[in-house]
Parts: sequence; C-alpha cells; structure tokens
Amino acid sequence: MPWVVTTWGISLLVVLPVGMVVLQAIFPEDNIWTHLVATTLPRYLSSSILLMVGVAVPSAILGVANAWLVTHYHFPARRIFQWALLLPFAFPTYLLAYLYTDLLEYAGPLQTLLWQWFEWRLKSDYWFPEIRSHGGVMTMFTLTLYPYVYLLACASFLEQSDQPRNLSRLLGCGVWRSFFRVSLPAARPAIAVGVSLVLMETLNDFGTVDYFSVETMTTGIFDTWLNRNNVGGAAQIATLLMGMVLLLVAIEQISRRHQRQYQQCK
Amino acid sequence: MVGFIAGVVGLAAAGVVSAAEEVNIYSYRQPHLVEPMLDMFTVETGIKVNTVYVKKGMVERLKAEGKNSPADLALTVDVSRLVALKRAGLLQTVNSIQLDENIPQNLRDPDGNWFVLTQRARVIMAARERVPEGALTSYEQLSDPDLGYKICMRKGNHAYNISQISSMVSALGREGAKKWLEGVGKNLGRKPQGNDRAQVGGVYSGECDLAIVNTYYFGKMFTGNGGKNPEQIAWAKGVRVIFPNQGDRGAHINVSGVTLLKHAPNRANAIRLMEWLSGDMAQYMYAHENHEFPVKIGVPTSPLVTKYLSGGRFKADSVSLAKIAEYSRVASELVAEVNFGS
Repeated sequence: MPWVVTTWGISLLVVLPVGMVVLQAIFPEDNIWTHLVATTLPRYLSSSILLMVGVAVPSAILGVANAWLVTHYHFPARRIFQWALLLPFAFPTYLLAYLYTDLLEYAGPLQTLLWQWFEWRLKSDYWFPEIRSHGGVMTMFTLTLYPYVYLLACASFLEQSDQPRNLSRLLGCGVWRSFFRVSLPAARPAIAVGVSLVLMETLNDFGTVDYFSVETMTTGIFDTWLNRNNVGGAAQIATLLMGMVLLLVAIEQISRRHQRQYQQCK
Repeated sequence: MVGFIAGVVGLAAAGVVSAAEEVNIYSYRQPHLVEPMLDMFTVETGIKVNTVYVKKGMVERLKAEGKNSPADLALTVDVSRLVALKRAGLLQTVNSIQLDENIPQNLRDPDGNWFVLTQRARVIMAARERVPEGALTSYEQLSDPDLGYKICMRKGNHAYNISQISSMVSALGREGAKKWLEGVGKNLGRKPQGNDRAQVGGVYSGECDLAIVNTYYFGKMFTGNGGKNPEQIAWAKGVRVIFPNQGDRGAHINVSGVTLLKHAPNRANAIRLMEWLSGDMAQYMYAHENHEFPVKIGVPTSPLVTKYLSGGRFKADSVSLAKIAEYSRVASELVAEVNFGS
C-alpha cells in the first residue's frame, strides 16, 4: 500500500506541470495561435526537424562506427578509447558552443590569424563558415551527444553472440556484408534507443541554439513567453513539442516490436 | 495553490528578514547600479532593502505569486515593461507631491501607476573611420537598399528593439514599419546576437559599420566598464554617436522606471524609496554611475555625457510613452512576420 501511494505521489509530481501546460495551451488568456501558425511556428518546426535529422544521422554513424571498432578490433590504446569516447558526455553542449564560437567567430583568434596571413580584413574579402548556424548547432550536438548511441551500441555488440556472425562469414559474407546483414540489425534496437535519446536532447536544448541565434521550438517557447508576454502561445508550442517527443517514443517502440529475439538479455 | 507556492519561493529568494522596517524589490536593473543607491537609502532612512534581480519574466512571476507576493516595488527598464505590469493589473496608484514635483508630467503614468526615473536614447553609433560625418541622419535610412553600410543590432525581440520598432510603427504605420524592418534586416552585417555593447564591438572588429545602441552604454564602454572591460574603451573611441531624426520627429527615447505593486506589504516604506529615487542624491548617482539622463530638473548629466553626448540636449521623439507601449504588441508581431535577422 505505501508503495502505491508513493508511486502515485511521484507520478502526480511529474504529471502536474505537464497538465498545467496543456491546460494553458487549450485555454489561453490571450490567444495568438493563428498568428503563430501564420508566422513563426512553421519556422520553429522546420528548424527543429532539420536539426533532428542533422544530428541523428552523424551521431548514429559516429556512435556505431566507434562502438564497432572498440568492441571488435585490437589496436593500440583501445582500452583508453573505450572509455575516452564516452567523455564528451560530460561536456554540456552550450559550453562547447561557447568555446567554438570564441575560436571561430569573426573577431576570434583563427580569423584574426587568417587576416594577418592573407591580408584580408573585410568580411567580403573571403568566405568563412558561420558558426552561428544550423550547421554549427548540428556539429556541436553531434560531438556531445553521439556517446548515447556509442554506449548502447557497445553494450549491444558485446552482448551479441559471435556465432551468427562467424556463420555468415563461413557462408561467404565479407566483413562489411556480415556487419550490415548480421551485426547491425541485431544491434538496431539499442541504436534506436540511443538515437531517440539524442533526438530528445536535441529537441529540449535551449542554451546552444539561443547562443547561436538559431530559432527552434525551445527558443520559440521562451520568446513567446517572456518577450511577447504570452504564456498561452508558449504553452501551445510546448504542447506541440511534447507531442513530438511522444511521437519519438512511439516510433522507437514500434521499431523494436519485432526485434526482441535478437538480444540475449531480453 | 500555484500562487501560494510561487509566493513562498519568492519570499525565500528575497531573503526576507523579520525586521519591521524594510522594503522588497524585484529589479530588472543590474546589481552593480542599484546596490550603491539602495545602500545609501538604507543609511539615510534605516529601512532595509531586499532585492531580487530578475532577468526575465517578472510579469509572469508576479501574476503567479498573486496576493502572496513579497514584492513592494518593481524597478524596470523599458516603458513596455512598465505598461505590461499595469495591463496585468499588478500595480496600484501612488499620490505623492514629491514624485509629482521631481518627475515631469510626461514622464509619469496619467493614473499614477508608474514613474520614470531615468531616460536614455536609442542612437546609431557609426565607425569613425568608415562612415563620414553627416552620412546618416535618420532611422529611416537604415533600411535603404543602397545604404552601403552594414548594421549590427541585438535580437529583434529584445525590449529595447521592440520599443524602437514601436516608435517606427507610430511614425510610419504598421505597413511602413514592416517595410522598414525588412530593409534593416537586409542591411545587417551579421545575425542579431549579444548585448548592446557587443554591437559596438562588431563595429570595432569591422563586421559592421553601424550599431544600434542605448546612449548610456557609450559611457560604460568609454570608462572600460569600471575596469572590467578595458578593451571596450577602444570600441567607444572608434565610433561617432549619431542622434537620428534631429530634423524631424527626433531620436527615440526610452526610460527606466519604478512602480508600486498591488499587494505591496510595506507600502509606506516603498513610497518613501520611490520618492528617494526621484530625489537629488539618487538622480545624481544614476547620471554619474550609469551615464543615463536624469529626469529631475537641475540634476546635471555626467561630464562624459556632457562632453560626448551633447549633455543629453538633443531633439527627442515626442510621441507619448504610453503610445510606444501600446504598439509593442504590433512590434513583436512584425519581428515574427519579417523573420528578422535570419
């Protein structure tokens, strides 16, 4: 009985603010939904989706490739790499963003050096990638979030029985073919979980995108709430964002439905 | 319930003690400016001042706290925030002969809900080396496709820019202001980012030729921000301050102000502090510490302002502050509609 009460109590603590937000979204004091839909919301939405794609794909590649290498190959310092590849986890994305901006911005040390070398001075004299951009944000997120995929893929690769892979090699599969047809599909559920965690982090980040002046759902919530003094509009965007996260969870669940037999521990 | 919780949190944050003589402030103004003045007030009156420095969302916070709010006064910058507090029904009327004497009538809310303490203008700071004197005389020119200069500006939705855009709505109408904003967006040298001073930094580094900045930042930069940012002295020296539209409606001005909150628990002390802030001592400190324009007649501007910012003597846009605040909603809609700065 005390367990039931505790569980309900904790659940209520979690659900209450979420419920408040949804209520404020449905019954806003000052409804600007039509203006949001006509102006900013499509931009927030497409920008967030673009970021999700641009972070998910490279994170998955980086995470899986590194996991495969450290679990299946012997090379110098492999043991160090095994845990060192997890370290970016400890790095908040916005801090990395600050560092790279200081380094790469117009008046930063790198571009100043280029001015000296090539006698450039004006922005129009040369082309340099803008760090405060979608590409910049994607790079920062990928560099700090890929360990989610790496960690889960590592565990999955280590758990896998060697037999199917060896069998596939005996039956004539090359290294790549065996990886793509046997090992990778077996690790797919773990990778899917990793990627969906990466995506959730991408969606809920505020610090990095705000610093880079990239509009997303989260900066939209903030802007609508505090600059436009409109809680209702902010709650509406937040509810939509929550829907996107639920969708992610659902996709992840569905993708795993027929995969359970692959993992020994399940 | 939410209000109650928020109230308790606010109370804890305000560091409220049990002393009888005290006053609680929510402030948008920064500690380094406000603290020396409030300390002086405490020395003179024996009233303890507790301050919570709010960065954003004061209206929402006060709304949530409701009757349980420990706050007596709100110190804010920007007229739209003063009016937002009034509109949310969070203020009460103050009748004070002293406030009426110290603050000119056009700088007080007609209903006695808010009072202006200082003024500042939003001006153009132009690169001395690249922009010849007299090349630029109005805000309107900033949207000219043939401007030939790049502009640095902070994010469109910041309160300072919202008020500036509101003043353009008042001068040019909604459509005119929208076209203006689109034009300015096309002349930006970089994505809107950073604070006002960072824009002058952008001019210094050569990323832009023009920066849109509040006047007192010139003083802050010129003095190296009290030794904290010595690099900014060169930024300030590299720009010429242009008060726009001197031939017609005048430069856009904005204000900082004080309001008495509806559920103020220490009403008498709060009014005493309001009066003190409009008095000689505080007005002198505002002018000399932060290089703002004092509202009380007879209080001199800082020597720096006198020398480099014409002592605050310039033609100011006479449109009422209430009007500016009224257009702030349209202004923020325009920023969203033209997708400013992307």
